[in-house]
Amino acid sequence: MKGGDILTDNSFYWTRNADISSSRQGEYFRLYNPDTGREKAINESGYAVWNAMNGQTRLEDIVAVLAGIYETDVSRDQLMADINEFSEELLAEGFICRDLFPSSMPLVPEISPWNHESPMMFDLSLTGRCNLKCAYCFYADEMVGRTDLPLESWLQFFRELKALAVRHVTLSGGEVFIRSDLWQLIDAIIEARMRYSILSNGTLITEKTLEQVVSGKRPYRMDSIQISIDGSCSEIHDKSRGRGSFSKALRSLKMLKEAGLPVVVRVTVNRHNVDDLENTARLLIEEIGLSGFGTNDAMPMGAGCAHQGSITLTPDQRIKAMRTLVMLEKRYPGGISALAGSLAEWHMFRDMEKAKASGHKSERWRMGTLSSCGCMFQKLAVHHDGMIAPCNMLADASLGYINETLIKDVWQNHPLLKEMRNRATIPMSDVSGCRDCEWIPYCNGGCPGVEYTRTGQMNRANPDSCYRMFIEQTGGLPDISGEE
Amino acid sequence: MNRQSIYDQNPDVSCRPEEPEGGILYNPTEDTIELVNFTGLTIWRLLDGKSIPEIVSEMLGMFDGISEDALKEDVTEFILHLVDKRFIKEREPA
Repeated sequence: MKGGDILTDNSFYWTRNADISSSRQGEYFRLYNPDTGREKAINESGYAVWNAMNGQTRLEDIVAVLAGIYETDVSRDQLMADINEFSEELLAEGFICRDLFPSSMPLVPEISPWNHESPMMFDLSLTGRCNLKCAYCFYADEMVGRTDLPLESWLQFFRELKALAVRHVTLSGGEVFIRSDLWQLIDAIIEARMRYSILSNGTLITEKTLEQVVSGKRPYRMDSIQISIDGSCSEIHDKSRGRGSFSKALRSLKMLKEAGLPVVVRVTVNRHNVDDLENTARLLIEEIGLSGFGTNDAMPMGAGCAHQGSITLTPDQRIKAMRTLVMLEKRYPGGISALAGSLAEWHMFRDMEKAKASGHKSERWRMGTLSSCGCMFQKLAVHHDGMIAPCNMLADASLGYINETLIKDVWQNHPLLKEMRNRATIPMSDVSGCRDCEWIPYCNGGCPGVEYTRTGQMNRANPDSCYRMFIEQTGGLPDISGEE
Repeated sequence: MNRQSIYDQNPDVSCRPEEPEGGILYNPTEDTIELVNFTGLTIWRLLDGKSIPEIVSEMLGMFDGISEDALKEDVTEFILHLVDKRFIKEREPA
């Protein structure tokens, strides 16, 4: 919050917008408005102000709340002006509302998101077995060699998750539909009061599978079932996923959609499909009728390491992917999403350019320190042999084994998790190889997992997210804001 | 609400205590969340087939200096709100 000579208006009662979710990311807090897709990063005192807005608080009440939390030399009038300015900002962005009358019931305070005693979510790889051998699977041979846990071990683990009130699990593999006891596992997840999502290659889903999916509470507890589609035709998709896989995946996709299930698609951008993205979008959105799809890039992890020279994008192809995906974002508003890969990088690099030019750092994400990755504050992963890991893409970062180590203990005390969470306190200027970079005030070093896989070290920057390197390789971010 | 109604936790709902602040109730079927403060968490834990007067009576023994009428009003409001949102089940006594 900044000070200012603004007249305060104490007539209103302020309320947090009930649709907003909050989460901690390092020292900052992220507010997210699911209606507008808007995000805002605020500091701890800003969070305290936002949290105090319960429909029965006016500015003077909020000042009193803040004064009770923080010792400050700032005068009451200055504090009032600061909070007023901050509140107007939140109001303009839809994170709060105000009324001349107090609400009849106060909103209960948000539970501080940094105090969660155990994870909210889990990524569970139920099997290391798969009927395909995709060129960029992060489950490489060394993972497949491990043994699948039997049903009983998973059931025991789900009882622990029930006691911890874990809310959601994402089931993947390998290929989950290869497990003949999958439905027993899903029913146990439901019994443990959780919701679930499935990630699948889509090739093993049949009419019989569909009958099982829609049985009992299973469809009501399912958040999504994701099918991988890596091209608009078998010639392209099958190059990276194996012969015959496209037709089966597409059939499953159509079947799941017709059944009204929450089916989603992930397209992994790679050398084989980078020139086919427009056709893929047309197939998925215009022909099949999906509202959109998610994208990622083939990464140098797992099998992707071995096939790096033939599957991961070249610098020129990254530019090509960015151009196409940004164009598709405009053609299908809200239809193309990305948490990583070329599209996400384009947005990140553009934010960095804007921040450098304007001197104002992005509010969408934290700049200038290493990223701690939001996952570390919300979820854990379990591999098919029971190994607990910070992320399902990390094959060797063991935090212990389920049913041997208490999850609560891992979550609260494991040194590796603490190290990952603390990354956000490390300035980019202290990161090896980054000290002299002109972009460090605007960079966050990217995904911790990629570099950990490569070097075994956590506090390093991911070269794939390095803008300086990107500029050296490609000449810089393409100007594609005006295209299509 | 019937005067004789008794109340139970919805067995599908999970409760994550985040003490001392309160707790998070999660209904996985509806995918809805209710954040409850410490008093709400106390009420939640007492929902095992009790009526509102029984819950109020137990809570009066836990908290000092609280008026029975005010507590009854709060408990009733809390329970009816969560019945409405399907976190709590209401039934007639057998």
